[in-house]
Amino acid sequence: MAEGNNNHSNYSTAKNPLKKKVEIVSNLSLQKKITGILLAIFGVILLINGYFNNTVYFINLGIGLIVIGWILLIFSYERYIKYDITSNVLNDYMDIIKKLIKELNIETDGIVIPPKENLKDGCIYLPLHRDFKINFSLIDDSTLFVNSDNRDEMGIILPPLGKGLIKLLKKYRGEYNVPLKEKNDIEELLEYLDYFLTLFQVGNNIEVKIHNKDIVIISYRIVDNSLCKKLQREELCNKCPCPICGAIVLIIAEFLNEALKIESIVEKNKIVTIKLKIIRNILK
Amino acid sequence: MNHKLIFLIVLTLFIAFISIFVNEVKLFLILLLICFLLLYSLMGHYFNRRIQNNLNIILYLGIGVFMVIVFQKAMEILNG
Repeated sequence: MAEGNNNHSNYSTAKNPLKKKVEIVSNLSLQKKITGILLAIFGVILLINGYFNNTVYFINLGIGLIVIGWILLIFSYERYIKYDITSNVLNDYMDIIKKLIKELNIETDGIVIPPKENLKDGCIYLPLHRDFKINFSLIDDSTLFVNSDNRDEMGIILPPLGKGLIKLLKKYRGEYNVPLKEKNDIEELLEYLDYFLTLFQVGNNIEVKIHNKDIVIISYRIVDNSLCKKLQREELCNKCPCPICGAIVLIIAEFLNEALKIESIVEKNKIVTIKLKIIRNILK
Repeated sequence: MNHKLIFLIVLTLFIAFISIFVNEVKLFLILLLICFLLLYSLMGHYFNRRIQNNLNIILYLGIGVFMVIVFQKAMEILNG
């Protein structure tokens, strides 16, 4: 019984920071609502006062305050799943992937393959051996294990975790009818990635550098690094990146239209640095 | 910086500025609508769908007010 109580108190302590965070967010939302309502009420009073006293400035200010109060109220009613909740849900899925990788004893890093005819959303290929070959005739959307007589072609295909976010991004963005890869402009790519991070409120300050046309280095600031810490501890980042890094890597692979080897994904003080190596002539 | 914050700061500053210097309500409303349209077209796509739908109500209301003002002005001109 005593042990049970102890476990319960440990559980409560672990959940407290999250609870506090949720409370702060709720309080902020309430503050916004109160401020919005107060501004609107003050605006109405000014408007009525200005109307009866024939003071145009008061009428103007009244209308202005009503509009600002209304907008503040609109901004306070937003509802979105906070990333810390999502990361906790994702932990369970990452555990399954971890078990799979551990069982198959895969030590190679992931290869990001952009969308192709037989791979509509792209994929992450984990070869079994370091000297690998990719046989695209063996890979499609329904493949999980790549079996081949040639041991270098064996591996597993994982659907990239960020593909759902990319679909949502395309749905919101709307205006990008032309695929990104056809534009081939790094500024366009940066703007697109920045939009992605801002839209889902998961990060900012993204930078993309291409060194010697061979190495791509991306760095960005992540809002919540709780999932990063878990993935890094279990060395899963290079094999199966989280949805945010996964989406970024997939967008870049799509933009360059090349397969990319994940060299490293490092998170330090909420700054995530992704190093990718372009594997040329593999998709041709 | 957060796009919502930028949106609110610019709109508040603009409203404070024009409410002091404009001494006609109709002109104030038109300038306010122009500012709102500009800010909304620049930053609207950064907001989520629910916020966009709610901001559209303000936008349509503003356009409605603008149309009333234009109609009044047209009637004034036609009636000499």
